[in-house]
Amino acid sequence: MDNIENIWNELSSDFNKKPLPDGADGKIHTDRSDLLLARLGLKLKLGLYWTIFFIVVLIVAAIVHISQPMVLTLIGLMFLMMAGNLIYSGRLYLKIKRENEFSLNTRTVLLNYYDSVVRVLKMERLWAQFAIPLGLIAGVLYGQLLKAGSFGQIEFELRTLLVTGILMVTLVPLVILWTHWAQKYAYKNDLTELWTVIGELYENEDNM
Amino acid sequence: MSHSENKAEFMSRISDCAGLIHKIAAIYTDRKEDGEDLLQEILYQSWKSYPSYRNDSKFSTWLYKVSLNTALVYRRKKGRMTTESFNDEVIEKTDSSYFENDEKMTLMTAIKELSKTDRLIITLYLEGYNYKEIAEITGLSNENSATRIHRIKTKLIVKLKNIA
Repeated sequence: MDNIENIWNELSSDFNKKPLPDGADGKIHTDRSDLLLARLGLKLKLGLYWTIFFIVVLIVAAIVHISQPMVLTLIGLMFLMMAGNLIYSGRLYLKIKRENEFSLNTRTVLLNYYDSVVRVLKMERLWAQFAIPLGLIAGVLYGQLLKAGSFGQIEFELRTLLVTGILMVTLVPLVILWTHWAQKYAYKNDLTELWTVIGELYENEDNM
Repeated sequence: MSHSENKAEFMSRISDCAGLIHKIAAIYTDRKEDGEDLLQEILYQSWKSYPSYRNDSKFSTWLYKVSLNTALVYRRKKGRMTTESFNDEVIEKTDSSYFENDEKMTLMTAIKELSKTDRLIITLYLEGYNYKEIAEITGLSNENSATRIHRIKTKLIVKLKNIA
C-alpha cells in the first residue's frame, strides 16, 4: 500500500502542474448547470412563469367578464387552481434550491438530491393528471357560458357532450400515460444510477 | 466584500487547487469532453456553495467535498463519441518517463474500475484523510468507514495485480 501511496503522490503532483483550462468558469458566468436536478429545476421555473402568465390572463378575463357572475365563478375556480399550483410549485422550487447544498456530507447531499428529483417528477405527473382534465372541462364550460350567458341557460348539445366525453376518455389517459412514459424514458437511468450509488455507499449502515 | 471581489477571491483559491479538481474529473470520467464538462460543473457547484465556506476548515477539504459530491451525481452527456481519455492527456503532458507513466496509468485504471462510491472513499484515503474525517465527509459511521477502507484497499491491490 505504501507503494500505491507513493504513486498516488506522483500522480497528484502531475495533476497539480495543470492549470484550469480557459473558460472553465463558463458555467459560473452563465449561471447554468447541466446536472439533472438543475435541468428539472429550470423546467419547474419555466412552469412557474407559465402559471403566472395564465394567472394574468385569468385576471384580464375576469375584468372583461366583470358583469357575468357565473363566468367570474368559473374564472375564480381556475384562478384558485393556478394559484394553488403557483404556491405548491414555488415552495418546491425554493426548497430544492435551499436543500441542495453540495458542501454538506455526501449522505445528505445524495439523499436530498434524489428526494428533490423524485418530488419534481411527481409534481409534473400530478399536474398532467389534474390540470389537463380540469382544463378541458373548464374550457368547454367557458365556451358554453359565453354562448349562453349563465349556467342556467346552458343547453349542452349532444355533439359537444360527445366530443368532450371522447376527449376525456381517450386524450386524458393518453396524456397521463405519455407523461409516465416520457419521465421513465428520460430519467429512469439517472434515478437508478443515483439510487445504486446511495445503496452502495450506505450498505451496512444501520440508520439509513 | 463586493460580488466581483468575492468571485476574484474564489477563482484565486480555486486556481490554487486546480490539480484537485482535475484529479476528481479524471477519476470520474472516461472521455476528455466529459472530464472538461465535470470540471466546469464542479467549479459551478463550488461557486454556488462558496457562501457556506467557513475559514475554520481547510479550503481543500471543503473543495473535496463539493467536487466528490458533484462527481457522484454527474452523468455524462449522451451521444459523445470521442475516446480520448482525460487523464491520458494530463499524464502524457506532464511526465516524460514511460515507466513512471505506466505505474500511474495502472493505478488510475485500477481506481477507475472501482465503483463510484469506492472511488470516493479511496480518493479521500489516499489524500491522507483519516477514518474519522472520511466518516465526517461521507456521512458514514466511523466503524463502517474503517471497514470500507480496508475492503477497498484489498480490492485495489487485487485489481493492480490483475492489470500489471
